[in-house]
Amino acid sequence: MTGLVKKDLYLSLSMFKSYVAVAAVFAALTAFGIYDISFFVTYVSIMCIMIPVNLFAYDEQARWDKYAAALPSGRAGVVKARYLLTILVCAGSLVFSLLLQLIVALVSGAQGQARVDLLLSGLLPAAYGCFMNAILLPLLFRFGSQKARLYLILVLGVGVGVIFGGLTGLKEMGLSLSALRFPLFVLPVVGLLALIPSYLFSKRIFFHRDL
Amino acid sequence: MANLIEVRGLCKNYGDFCLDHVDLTLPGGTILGLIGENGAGKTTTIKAILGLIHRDGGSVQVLGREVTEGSDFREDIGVVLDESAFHDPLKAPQVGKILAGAYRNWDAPLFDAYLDRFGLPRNKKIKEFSKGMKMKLSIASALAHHPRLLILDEATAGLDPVVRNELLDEFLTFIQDEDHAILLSSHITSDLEKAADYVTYLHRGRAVLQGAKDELLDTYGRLVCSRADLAAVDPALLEGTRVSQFGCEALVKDRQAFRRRYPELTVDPVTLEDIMVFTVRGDEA
Repeated sequence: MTGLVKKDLYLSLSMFKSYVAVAAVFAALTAFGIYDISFFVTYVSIMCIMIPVNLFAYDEQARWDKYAAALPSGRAGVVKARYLLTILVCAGSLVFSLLLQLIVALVSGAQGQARVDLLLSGLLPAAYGCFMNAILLPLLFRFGSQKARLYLILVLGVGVGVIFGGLTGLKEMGLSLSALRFPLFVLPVVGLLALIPSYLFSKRIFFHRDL
Repeated sequence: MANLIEVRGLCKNYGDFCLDHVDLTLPGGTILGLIGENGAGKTTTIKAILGLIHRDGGSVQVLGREVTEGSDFREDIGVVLDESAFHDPLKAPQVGKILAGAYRNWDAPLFDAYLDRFGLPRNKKIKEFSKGMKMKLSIASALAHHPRLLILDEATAGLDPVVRNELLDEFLTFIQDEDHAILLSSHITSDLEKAADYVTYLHRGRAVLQGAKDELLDTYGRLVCSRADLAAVDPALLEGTRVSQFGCEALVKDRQAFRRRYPELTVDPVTLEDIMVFTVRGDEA
């Protein structure tokens, strides 16, 4: 099964360079105040979803699933590997966005509550990635990346709306992210937990599919 | 000689196509050729053997174990599917590392040796590989964990004769061990004539013919005669006929018996392709 995760990592790495380059540009623009921080947070969140989705597309193109299911880890290995990769991507985005938020905080000279807000918003992409993948992965296992595209747009739209709207709403109400400190801290953990029923559901779907 | 694959009464219904009570046995030290026209059920049979589809009936045993999701026979089989399953951005050494994490018995030096033997570049992405190179990589991957059983679906399709012969030699070397066997599906019947010990012919989801290849080729015959001669022949001795303005051809079921009954008529040896073509025609008539 580690081989399947390795395969996903190799493929992710081939996509990752361009994602990171764009993220770096957004981060720089955010640091100089051209974009709001929520814009960057949204970008990293989308990245967490696009990597697993693109892996499904790569697998379909190569007709990998049939081959992978014939490997010793079987169908269970295919599903397990995809969820492990998703967790790794979300964990990576957490480290990445926290580091960048820290840099942004240092560069912009944000102090006190503003600095806490920046770091808190760094938790959002990983939490968002876990939640959205928990919904999307079973759909991708069921319908494949082509047919699941509609659901992807829907889930992305709703998710981005919630984050963007939420951040804007807080600002309009004169509140900062610190007001939601506890929910924001536990959100990535809750997202991670949401992947458990999602995994069981995906496994059930994939086991019943003719490949 | 133990059977490495035993399929009994395999059924799978897709609505517009069904696999109808297919039986199949693969003894150790042999190659079983699965032949049939496109859409005859070869790939469906292989998928059922690998547990990639849910069968509607029958039993499938591989290496003495019933095929289920949890069964551990997959560690001992090498699989080549009709198209290379490796992703375009990957390179051959990366494929080796991926499969090293998939098989307990992965032999990295052996994989490297196959890459050298097949002349596969290590620094090129798979998207730059020719079809033959991709197939060779698939075969190197299928062999590098010391499998006992190879399951190859159209592994020689689309390859030039030189590469096909190279691969067939590899397969013949593999089955020198009595504990090894190969299930090879192909519609290139000349490949199976070279390599297969047994043949199963699938037609419209049914195994219409099976047996030892040499026996089949010895038993069947190809009658070439005039319309008048054909009209005089007992149709029960024939499998299928082809009538053209230049003469008639027919597939004779038992060459020796036919010669005894009609010594004046010429019966030539057949190829597997003849058997396939005439059986299809006989079925369409």
